[in-house]
Amino acid sequence: MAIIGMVSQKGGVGKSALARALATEAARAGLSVKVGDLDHGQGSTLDWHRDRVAAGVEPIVAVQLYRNARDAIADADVDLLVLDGPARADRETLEIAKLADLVVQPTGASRDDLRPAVRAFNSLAKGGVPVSRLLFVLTRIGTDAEAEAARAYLEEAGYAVAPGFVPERPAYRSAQNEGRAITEIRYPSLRAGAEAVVQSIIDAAVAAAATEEA
Amino acid sequence: MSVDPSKLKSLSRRRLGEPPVDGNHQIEEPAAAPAAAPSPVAAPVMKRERVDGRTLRRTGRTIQFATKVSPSYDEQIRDVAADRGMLIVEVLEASLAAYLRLAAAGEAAGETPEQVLERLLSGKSTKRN
Repeated sequence: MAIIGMVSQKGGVGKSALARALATEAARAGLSVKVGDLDHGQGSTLDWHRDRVAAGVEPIVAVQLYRNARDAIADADVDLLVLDGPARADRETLEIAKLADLVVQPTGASRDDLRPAVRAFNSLAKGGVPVSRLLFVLTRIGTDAEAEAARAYLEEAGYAVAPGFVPERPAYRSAQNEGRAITEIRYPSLRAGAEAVVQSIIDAAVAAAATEEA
Repeated sequence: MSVDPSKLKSLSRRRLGEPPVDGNHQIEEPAAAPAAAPSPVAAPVMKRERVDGRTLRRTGRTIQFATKVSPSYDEQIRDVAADRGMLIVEVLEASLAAYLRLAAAGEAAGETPEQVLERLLSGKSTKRN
């Protein structure tokens, strides 16, 4: 079972959006997949799942609330388990990171986003998580220049950054309001952008696994 | 000799400054430890402060805030919060935000803080001419 964790101290950076999109595309490709929603206080991805079922959107993506990553892993028997972490950075974040094959941290491009994001990964690395398992994804990006500056900053800190980025667009929110993933958006260019980011997460997970096997 | 402007890109690399090298203390410390550094506005800790469950949970993210109000104000703010599913602190935060916005508009129009207060408490939302 492949395990990919989405973590961030901040809410609204796109953890759930990426978790949903990754799970949706894996399910569409025929993999058995489940999203473990670890934000049991909010359960927003579980709510999204209900919206999706109510709207009759295919494929169905299994979502279940768990109190922690260990419970989710013990319960899941799937090809891909996506852990949608809560909006905080604490010992549970380290737990998720230690159990996952790849840890994805979405981040915006401001200093206020980037500094705590780097500190969180610094702590995970210090806590024993191999840096090869840590991946930043740029989200809520306004311009190519903004993305480039943020990418340079994160790479200087020593972390991999997924190619591409998720731009800031209300249309992504609208799609999710309707129970869709950001890769199921109607606008072709926005859909292609989201698909490229999801593909880069999959590629990074495969590369991280290969690094550890070597 | 051809010009290679690609090196100029390195100049923009530091546009956001240097990334931090330290970590996140909430990840690195045990969950039971205080989650934040002591707030600069926290009361000075007495040498012989009694340690109990509350003091161990104290994080410094919030501080005690007490004031005396009339019974009718107490009843009204609790009703506002309860009717809307809000916390009392959220009503206070919203009240402060609304006051600052209205006061700024009033002061920009030449009102003194006293005139702003009188206007707001009298229930008029716009400056009297």
